[in-house]
This record gives sequence, C-alpha cells and structure tokens, in this order.
Amino acid sequence: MTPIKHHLQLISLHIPKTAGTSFRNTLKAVYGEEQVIRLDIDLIHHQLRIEQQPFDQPKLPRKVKVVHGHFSPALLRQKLALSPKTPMITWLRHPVDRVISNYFYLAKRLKEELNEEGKGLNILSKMQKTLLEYAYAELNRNRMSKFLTGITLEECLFVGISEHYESDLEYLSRLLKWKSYSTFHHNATGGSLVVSEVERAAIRAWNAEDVNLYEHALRLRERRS
Amino acid sequence: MKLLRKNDPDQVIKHNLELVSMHIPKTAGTSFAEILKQVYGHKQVSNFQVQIANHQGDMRVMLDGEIFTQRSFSPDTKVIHGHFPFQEMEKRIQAKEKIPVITWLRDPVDRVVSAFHYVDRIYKKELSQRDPGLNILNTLKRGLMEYAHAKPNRNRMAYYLKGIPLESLFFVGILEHFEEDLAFLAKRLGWKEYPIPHLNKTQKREPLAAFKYDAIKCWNAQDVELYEQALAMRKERMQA
Repeated sequence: MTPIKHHLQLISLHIPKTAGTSFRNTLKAVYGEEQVIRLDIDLIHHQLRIEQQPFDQPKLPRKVKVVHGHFSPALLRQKLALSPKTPMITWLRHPVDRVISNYFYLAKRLKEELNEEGKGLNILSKMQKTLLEYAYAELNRNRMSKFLTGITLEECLFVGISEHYESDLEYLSRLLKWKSYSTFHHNATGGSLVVSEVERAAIRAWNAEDVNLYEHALRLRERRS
Repeated sequence: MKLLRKNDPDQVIKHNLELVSMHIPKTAGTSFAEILKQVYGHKQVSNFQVQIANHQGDMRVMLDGEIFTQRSFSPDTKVIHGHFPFQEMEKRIQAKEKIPVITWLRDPVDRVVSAFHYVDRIYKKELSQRDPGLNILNTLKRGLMEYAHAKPNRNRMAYYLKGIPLESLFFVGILEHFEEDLAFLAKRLGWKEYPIPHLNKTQKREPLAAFKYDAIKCWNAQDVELYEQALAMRKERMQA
C-alpha cells in the first residue's frame, strides 16, 4: 500500500488519559482549528480513522499541519510517508493513576450508554469488571509501553509528564517556538475516587514496564531542566 | 399449604390468585410462562417481578412490564409468574391459605454459564446498536469466570428461595427432566391438557474445562446443595 502523503509539521501521540484532550485544544489554538486533525489507528485491525471516520485517501488535506490521536508510531510509519525530521511528541502519566482514570472514564461512559434506569436493564452489576479485574487483564496492562512500541523516548522531540502539565507545556511552547498558547483543562476523571493502597500496589505490579518507562521519562525531564 | 404469611401491611396486594410461579433466571421460565398462558388463559397470567430499582437498593414491583403501585391485582389474574425473591413476594401478596407456590431448578453450573451468555448478548447488543467506537467499552465486560466469581452472580437459586424450604413449595421441577416433571405438575394441578414446548436449545458451546467447572461449582455451593436436595425429593416422589 502506498503511504499517505502529507505536509505534517508535528505528530502528537495521545496515550489515553494523559491530558490529551486538553492538549489537543491547545494545539488547535496554536496551529488553527482545521490545521490539527484527530488521527487514530486501531491496534487490532490497523484501520486508520480521521476525525473518527475511516480514511482511505492517498493524501491528507494540504492544510493539515498536526495530527493528534491514538496510534502506535510503528503503525503510523506504515500508513504515512514519515520523514525522520517530523517531530513526534507525547505525554505520559503515572501508570497507576492512568489505569485508574481510564477505568473510571470507561465506567462513566458505559453507564451513560447503557442508561439502565431508563431502559429497565440490570446488567452492570453482573457484567462490569471491577477496577482490579480491568487492571489485571493483559489488554489493559502497560498500555503506555504498547503505544510506544517501535520508538524510544529519546527519539521523541518531547515527552511531557501530565503531573507537570503546565510547566511542561511551557517548555514545549519554547521548544516549538510558539508565540503564544492557551491552557485548557478537560476530562478530569477519577480525581476524587478512593482506591486502596493494596489495589494501587497490585496495579503497579501489573504495569511494571510502564513504571520503568515513566521513571525513565522523569529522568529525561530532570536532565532537560 | 400455609404460605405467604409475612405480609407488610403497607405493601400488601389483594388478589384472586390460584398459583404463584417463581421464575429463577435461566430455568426455562419463558417457555413455562407460555404453558401457563395456554392452560389458564393469557389474561389470567401476569408477569410479576420484584426488582432492585436504583443504586440505593430500593425495590419496585413490575406487573406485565410496568411499574405497579396498586393495592390489588385485576380479579382476572389467576397466576403470577416472574423473577422475584420469595421473601419480597411474601411481603406483598395477601396471605391466603393454599396458594401453591412452584418453581424450577437447574444444574447450578449450567445455569451460571447460561446466565452469563444471556447477559453477555444483551451487553454486546446494547453497545453495538450505536457507534462501533463504543467497542472500547467491551474492555469493561467480564469474562465467564469473572462473572461467575462475582458475589452478586453466585448462588442465585438460593437467593431467590431464601426464606422458603424446598419442602414447603408445592412443586419443584428440574429443568433437566422438564417434560416428565411438567406432566407430574399438570396431574397435581388437574390440568386437562397443556402444550409441550420445544425448549430453546442452548447454542452448542465448548465444554467447560474441568477446573472452571469445579470453580463455578465451588462458588455456588448453596445452589449445589439445593439442587441435590431437589433431585432427592424428585426421586422420592417418583418412587411414591
């Protein structure tokens, strides 16, 4: 398959629950609403979607300068004719907090979608995984590492840390020579939820690769400052 | 038979019932409801359910799919059939002598597996009707063993039958002997004729690995005990 042509200036990999929606809003404010598009590649079927719609054109619209979305860099390289000069950036988050946030985000969406009380359904109490059941599943472990398969942190122009969102965004703005930028806050899930230390320890153990990745990113961050 | 003796005066429903049929999920209750309608008449059989209404655990009564808050059934209603824990029904149905209460049981492991696949189908159907992007929500769906291990899904037969010993029921059928037990019940209730349904054939599934079967059996020890007691009672009545 011929790789899709483009005029991209920036590739932003959005690992779920790492402040990616807030960051997309900042990108749109900096580069323009139509210059930033959402691009996802599903990890199982490898289907590329633009703005959540299947995409099979030979090139991206000329005006598109930035893609931001859920994909693995290895799959993106198969789909797009990427130059090594096109910078790739991403954000990481403490692995345990990311898993917890992901779980409660999905649980909230599931509850809304099923609308049990409205439809007289009673399946969530029977069928919804608990946090630990969700976290234990291989599919949901080490997702940051899975997204970053095929690329090292050092190969990324920038790896932000969600816990230092504002200062890292400021650093990125200088790196990319943005004249000005706006900060957004969106999608705060799970902030007030209580998860026991035992549960956190189990989730940490099941996400050892992500813990290493995150600690490595923290060390890189320390070095750059 | 003296049943239904613990009415809650604030909730009691007056009635002309001749039969109360407890439908424990996945014990051929839908097929049995059709038989009841053929025998007693469609208008005479109502679907009665007592279910959890909200996350606070409040209960509500449903009659034929609608929330029911009245204090009496239609005089035409002779039979109620549906999902309700015995004790919840007992609080609400006006106490009278000799109202037979009946139910069906099933091999506990088979019942759990069947219940899982049933709920699994609803879960997938509800989500697939919308955006395929919602597939992401399938990551929250339990697998069979997670489902079977979860406390709310264990010992459901015992949960429904809490507060009533099997010996006090007018009839306890065994799903695995449906036709034979139906004939016995028909005789006891003096049914002149009744249809014999073709039970929904369960989709052919891979047999459970032995360790999974044993685990589900172990997690449903109360149901296993009930089922074995029901089988022993059945054996006794067959020999009588």
